[in-house]
Amino acid sequence: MQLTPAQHDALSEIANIGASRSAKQLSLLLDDEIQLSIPKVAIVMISELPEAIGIAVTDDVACVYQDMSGCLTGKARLIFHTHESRLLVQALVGSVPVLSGISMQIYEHEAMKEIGNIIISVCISTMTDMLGKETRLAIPMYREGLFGEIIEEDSRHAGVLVMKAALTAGRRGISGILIVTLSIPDIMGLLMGLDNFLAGCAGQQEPE
Amino acid sequence: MQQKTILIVDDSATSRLLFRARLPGNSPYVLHEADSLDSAMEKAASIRPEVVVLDYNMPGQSGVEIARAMLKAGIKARFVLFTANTQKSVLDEAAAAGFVAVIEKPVTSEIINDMLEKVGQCN
Repeated sequence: MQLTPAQHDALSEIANIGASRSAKQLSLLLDDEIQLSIPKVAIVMISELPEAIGIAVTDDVACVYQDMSGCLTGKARLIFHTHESRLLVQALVGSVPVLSGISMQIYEHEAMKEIGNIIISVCISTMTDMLGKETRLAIPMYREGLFGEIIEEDSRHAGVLVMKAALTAGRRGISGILIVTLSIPDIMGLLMGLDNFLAGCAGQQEPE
Repeated sequence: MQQKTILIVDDSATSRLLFRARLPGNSPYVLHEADSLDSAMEKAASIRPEVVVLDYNMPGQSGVEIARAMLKAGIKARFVLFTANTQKSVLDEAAAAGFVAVIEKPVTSEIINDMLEKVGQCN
């Protein structure tokens, strides 16, 4: 799905603001400096998603997801490769005494949901606030598995907004990808909202 | 009254558009734009802005690096950081480089107004 240069730029700026705000929240949570890359954005069909984000359907991933309703109806997912999610949790857990196998797993899942909730809610709220809309987010859920199985439940006709950014927590490099699965009408609505927003800003400018 | 100039340096056209749209209508400042180190240096040398507003997270050089380059080139302006990344490390970096203010994205007219008042009070 081809974005106009103005739409791509606007989505990139939204992703930049969302990722930056997330970085700040994460830095407070992890008590560490977070560096982030320039986010990349794209809108693709669900069938194009693995190639677009460089994650194969057979890759093991960790996923925090939240259902959305309101002006954006669909699912927001934060995807990490499983080994990277462990690094993120280690950064959070720090020097907590070693727990038993099952307790540690539950702790890790809760930590990932907390981190994922921060990133997803900041990014989605940045987008909808700038467009003057409202989107409700359900409670965060966590899942591990093959990437293909995770996106299997999405309609083959759905579109996906991809926001890809690399976060470096301390000396640990982690790449997280936020994917927002929407119906095609919702994607068209989002793009129309962007166009209206940009036109409104252009109309507010003082004549030169 | 001599017109004052602001140079905004941001790789995002949307961000520059938003800043322009929210610059108060009665502001005595004229806004110029640049999207990279090269265009920023060229514009700054030409218009000698009173205020330079710099995005932090840009491809190539950060806003702080661009400010350092301008200072080295003898461009005397008040530097303002324009970012959503207000981590302590970023704020400390900006302060060390001599930035006089930090304004958060997404910007509002009130934020710009407060910034211009603060900048106007700087020596």
